[in-house]
Amino acid sequence: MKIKEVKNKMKIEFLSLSENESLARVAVSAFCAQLDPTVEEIADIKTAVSEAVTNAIIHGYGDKKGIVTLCCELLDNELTVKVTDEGKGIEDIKKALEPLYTSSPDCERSGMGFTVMESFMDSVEIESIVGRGTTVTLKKYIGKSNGHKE
Amino acid sequence: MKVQINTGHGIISVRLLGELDHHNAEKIRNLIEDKINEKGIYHLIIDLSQLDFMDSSGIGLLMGRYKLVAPLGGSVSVIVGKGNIERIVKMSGLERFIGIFKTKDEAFEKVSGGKR
Repeated sequence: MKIKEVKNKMKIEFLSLSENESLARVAVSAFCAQLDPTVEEIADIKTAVSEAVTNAIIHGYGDKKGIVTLCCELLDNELTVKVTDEGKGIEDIKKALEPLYTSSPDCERSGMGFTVMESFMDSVEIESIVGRGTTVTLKKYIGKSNGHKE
Repeated sequence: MKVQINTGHGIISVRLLGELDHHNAEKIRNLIEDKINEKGIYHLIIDLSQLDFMDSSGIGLLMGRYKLVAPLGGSVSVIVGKGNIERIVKMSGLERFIGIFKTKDEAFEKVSGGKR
């Protein structure tokens, strides 16, 4: 059995300001550039990260301000991105995952965040404790479209 | 993020350049609504083809404008962008409410009935 090698790690903490959504996208895309991803792979990752970070800012913290933590790891050719907030948590994860469901209908949210994440990444996991916060873990295998297989 | 808004032939035409996310969506929403109120025009063509990035905040923006103009007899049409932007628009099921076009000419032809 081949042991996967950790190629790189990154951790960034930022305040839950909407200005930081673009910062998070750019940071993750620069971080995974060392795996030589395709333009499509970069676009998928940026979109999913933007959805997760926006959720943390809008739904995790809402009107309050808090810290959003972005942890990235490259394990062989697999990128893992963990987006963590210490906000209010998700009461019903199953409901949050339903396409078009939004807990903030007044904010013009489409309710498509998790649908987009699931469609653009290889796996999406959510851990949440009400009153403690949420961690969304996104994984994507880079190089799949070039026929590279584990 | 740049927004270019033109009006003419009973259409408000909005061209978006740069990155459309939750941070920028509110600013764009306000610009469009100011123009709707100023001109009393309820047919919108929103051009996403020059965007470098859009997430699902863009869907919320389009859906919100549709809900605003549809009861007033208006319409929203979209010129879709590259790669993931087209995928997100299709994934959202917006096609049931909003005209989706590949080119500006197709969108104007449909909305203005060729009177441009």
